[in-house]
Amino acid sequence: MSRYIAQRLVWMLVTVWGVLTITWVIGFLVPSDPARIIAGVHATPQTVAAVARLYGFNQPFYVQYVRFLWNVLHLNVGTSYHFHASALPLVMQRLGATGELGLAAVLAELLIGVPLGILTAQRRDTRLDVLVSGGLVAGSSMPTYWFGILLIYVVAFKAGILPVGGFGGYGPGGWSYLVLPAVTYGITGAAYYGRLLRASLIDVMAQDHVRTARAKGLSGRGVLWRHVVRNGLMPLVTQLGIDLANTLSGLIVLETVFDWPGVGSLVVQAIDYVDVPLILAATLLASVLVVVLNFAVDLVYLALDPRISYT
Amino acid sequence: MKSSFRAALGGAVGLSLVLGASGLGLAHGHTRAAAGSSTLNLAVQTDIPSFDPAVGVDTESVEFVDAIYSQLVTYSPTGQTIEPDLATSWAWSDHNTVLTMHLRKAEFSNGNPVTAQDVKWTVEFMLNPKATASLPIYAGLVGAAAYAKHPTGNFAGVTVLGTNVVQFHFGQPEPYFLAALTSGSGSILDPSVVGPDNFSAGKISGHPVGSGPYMIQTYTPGQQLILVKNPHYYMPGLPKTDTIDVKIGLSPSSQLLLFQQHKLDVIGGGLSDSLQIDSSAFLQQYSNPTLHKDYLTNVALETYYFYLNTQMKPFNNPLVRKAVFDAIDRSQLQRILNGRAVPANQVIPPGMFGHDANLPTLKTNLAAARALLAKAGYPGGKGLTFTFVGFNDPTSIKIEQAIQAQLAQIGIKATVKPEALGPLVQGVLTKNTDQAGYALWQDDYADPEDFMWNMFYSQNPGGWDISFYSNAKLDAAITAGDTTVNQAARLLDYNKAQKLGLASYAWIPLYYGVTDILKQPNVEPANKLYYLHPVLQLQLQYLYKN
Amino acid sequence: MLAPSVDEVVRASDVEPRGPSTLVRFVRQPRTWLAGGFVLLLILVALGAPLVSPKNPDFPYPNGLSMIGAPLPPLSAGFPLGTDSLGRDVLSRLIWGSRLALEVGVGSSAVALVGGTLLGMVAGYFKGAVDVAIMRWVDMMLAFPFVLFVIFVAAVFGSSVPIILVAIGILQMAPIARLARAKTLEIVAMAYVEAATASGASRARILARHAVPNLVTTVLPYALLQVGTNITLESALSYLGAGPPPPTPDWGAMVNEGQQGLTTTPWLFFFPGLCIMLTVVAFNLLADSWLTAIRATR
Repeated sequence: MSRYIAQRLVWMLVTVWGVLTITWVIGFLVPSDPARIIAGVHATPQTVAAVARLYGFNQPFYVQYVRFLWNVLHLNVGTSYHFHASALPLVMQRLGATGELGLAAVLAELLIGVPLGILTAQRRDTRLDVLVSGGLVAGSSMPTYWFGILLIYVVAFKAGILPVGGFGGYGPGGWSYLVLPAVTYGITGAAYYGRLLRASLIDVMAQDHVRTARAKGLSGRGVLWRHVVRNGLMPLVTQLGIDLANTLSGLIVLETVFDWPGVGSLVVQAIDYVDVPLILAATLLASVLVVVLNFAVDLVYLALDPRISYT
Repeated sequence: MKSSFRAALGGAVGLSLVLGASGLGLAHGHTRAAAGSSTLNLAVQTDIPSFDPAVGVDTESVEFVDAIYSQLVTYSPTGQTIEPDLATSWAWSDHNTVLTMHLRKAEFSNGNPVTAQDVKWTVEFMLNPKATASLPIYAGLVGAAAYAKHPTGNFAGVTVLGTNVVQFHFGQPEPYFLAALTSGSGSILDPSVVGPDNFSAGKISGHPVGSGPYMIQTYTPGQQLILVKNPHYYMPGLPKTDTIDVKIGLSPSSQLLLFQQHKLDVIGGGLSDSLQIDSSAFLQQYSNPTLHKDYLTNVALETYYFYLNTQMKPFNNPLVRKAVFDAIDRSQLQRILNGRAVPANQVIPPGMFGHDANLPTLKTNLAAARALLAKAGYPGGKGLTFTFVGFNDPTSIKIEQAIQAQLAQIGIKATVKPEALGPLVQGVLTKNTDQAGYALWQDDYADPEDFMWNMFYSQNPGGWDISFYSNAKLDAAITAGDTTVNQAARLLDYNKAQKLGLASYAWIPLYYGVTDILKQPNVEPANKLYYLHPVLQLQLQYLYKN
Repeated sequence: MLAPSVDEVVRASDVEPRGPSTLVRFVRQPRTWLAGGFVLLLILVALGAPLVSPKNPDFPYPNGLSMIGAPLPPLSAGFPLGTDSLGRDVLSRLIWGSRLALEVGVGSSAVALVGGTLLGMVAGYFKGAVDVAIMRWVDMMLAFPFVLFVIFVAAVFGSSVPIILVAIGILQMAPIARLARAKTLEIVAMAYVEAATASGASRARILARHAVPNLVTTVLPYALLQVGTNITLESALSYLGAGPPPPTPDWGAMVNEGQQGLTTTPWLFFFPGLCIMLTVVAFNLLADSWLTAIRATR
């Protein structure tokens, strides 16, 4: 077991290193002079040259790369070209907002998807199943950003019930700002879990030992909860882990649509300015998050089902 | 219904009710500014890049740098004359190479007095490469270049004659120096904020201390900026509003909505990167007569132009350049911009000294353009393809596509390549990279030198002669204009330079920018010069609500 | 995203291939006709765009804007779905946009299908170090902040249809590789058994006779499902600014343009998004239908 954990940790480090390196290389290949961007559009060549010397931009690429890795180990991902401040703290500052939105979004997905998944499994192949399943398919076929804009237009702009966008703070006063983004993501993502749960539950329900339990006279509700749901939830947990990378990507779009001051919208801005240090900081954060969360999910899965071995 | 499903449904409904209920109340998640005093409510779309005057020269930062700091001189409301600010009087001597200024008794927001020594320190800071100052306004001072290389020891370009008397020494006359001092880069800094050996842009931006009308109470990146009145501000009766609450991160459509709900007091102008309210906001106020009197507009000191690289095919051929020149339809561009653009006929915008009122309007002439193409060896535009670069914001992309379609009318196949600022700048400054492009020059200060020397002077290494067009007569006219003190003579020099520039067809003036704002009826004064000052944009210290 | 799990699809195809029957079951479902009809219509419109499109999609018509430069609403004379902020015909742009959607959607799925199947087959057949290497690469792909990466590359080097197509294709190879590998492992196990009991026939021959059709049946619906996903992915990338260069009519980019004028010209964001939705629904229903046909024996 500890060997497994050690192996995973090494692999996680390698993955993060790999992603970071690829991003750094692309940043290096950007056809623009970082000294010029920092110094500003109107700066004299002397200023630009001075800035280049200051940041070591005229050194050979391997020197810069090693310097970069060394700095990363000291939690310094460089200075943002646009904001003239250290890049990593700028990104970390925004983590809370993204975390809140991410949580609300996944919660919404599950709150809508799980009950509907259970319902359609119980009522499989009835009219209700066809209707709800169809609705789920339609919901997941909508581009998230389009549905978000639609909700903004109808609910926030025309009806004026909820705010148009932005962030309202972490307290209850800010929850109204969370509703539209969460609902958008929830409706477009619910099908993912709903359909999965339905298929998994149907499989489990058809299994012999469930039929036996029913035959023995156990009440319908008891059968459902104790055997079916618990076993049927396994694929859900797995998918949650896989879904994480998707969720992070989805958050980028969600934050852009709703003016949400999270890491995602910062990254889009950073790319707009080609602010390489900021992009690197966000990439570092994203890849670390994904590998760590994936690892956590795998540990949970391991705990839930000791039959599965990871050697 | 199965009870399990009922439970889940109940939970979902319950949660939505709670969320909905909190949403029906006032959606005020932000910190409230001090109750009781009046507050001006504003919004900006992105984080403010920097409060450091050395680097905060972009549109987003300048507005707030101007609110927090003050400069030695400032502009009159019309922007036509220079007025005292921190300096109460000044005089040129020694054939206009020495400028002596007397300072008023003033203090920074932390109570420290503003002294001549502070002015000298500020200049040394701006010249120091570690400050990465964007605008080289002090580059003409004696010994500036040497000091920039080795920022140690005494800098001879500025001398302190007394607690409140400071002197600037120039290599040659700089008639535009006072204008340059009015910009944010001319802000005076308090040395005590940053130690002498460890200053950097980040430090100053994190704790900005200035002598301007406002100071920062709180700044939460991505969310909110609160400015409060600087108790030590020296101009009597100003600022008129004690508190300014700026919400950060709101898109133009969000801002418009909040404005309609009376939660924002002013939108557009210097608060927006484009110096304008966005297209939707404009169209809405256009169709709503009650909003007309609160919609204010002014010409902005900026020129949008299309440049052609004279060192690359196909634009090394002047016939091709003139063909493109003749094919541009400025009225269509104006229409696409909702009429909020003034067709241009020269580089220096109207409202600025140096503008030549005698130049004719530029007209579209497709027939002439086609004839020129045929003469140049591209009959019907056949074989003439090129790529042009430009900004990547939505409005610029619209204009770029419009130009592309206009050139298609005479058979030219142009490809549009919108780029981020960094690669764009790098490309235009490198000789053989970009064939053509859509560009903008915005004034840093209201003097033609800012335009002419930067854009046309061919001997300016790393300068903005992005057409790489070289003409000795043009250079000479510019140099004359930059160093002559007599304003009438300067005007003649610049007129000559502009005519020569236009005759090259390497720069095609497109339109002058228009800046506008929308304000609530109860926001005073209604004088547009305080909202749309030609150079200083929104003058926050003059605004108040009834 | 609607993808079923690897386990689910492998188990679903865990029966002896009954080619014609599956097809019949596929064709018997009404939604196959509904969705298939729409897809066919879309293909016809895309192929016939030069004929079907009423106007030039890239041309800013002078009468396409009001005097003050406002776009025309739907049901305006000559512009059935209105115009955009440059005066271009929305309907024409939507029609031409279908080309791009299908090109990228189908193209990237094809890339993912071929690449992913090959990778998975190689991993499952050779096992050992090759298998580990390939699967590690797949894991890295799944952990990669893809959207971030693509818009970064696009901002730096410019974007084009082939680049986006290949980028999405490479990303989507990962889940298909996993699927193909799992199925290949199964098939290889079966092939050994068969070889042990039968006489003469080589492992390779058996694999070719059983593996490939089985593999294709398994992976195809997944790839079909990916068409919808890929179209959405491309439109999201376009929405974030990484789409093909202007003035290419692209549904995702049109939604982005439309959002700017949300309060005055809501039709500009609505119609392109609706097109994306309908297209994705159609492909999803088709894939779903196929999966049901495979599963129907259970």
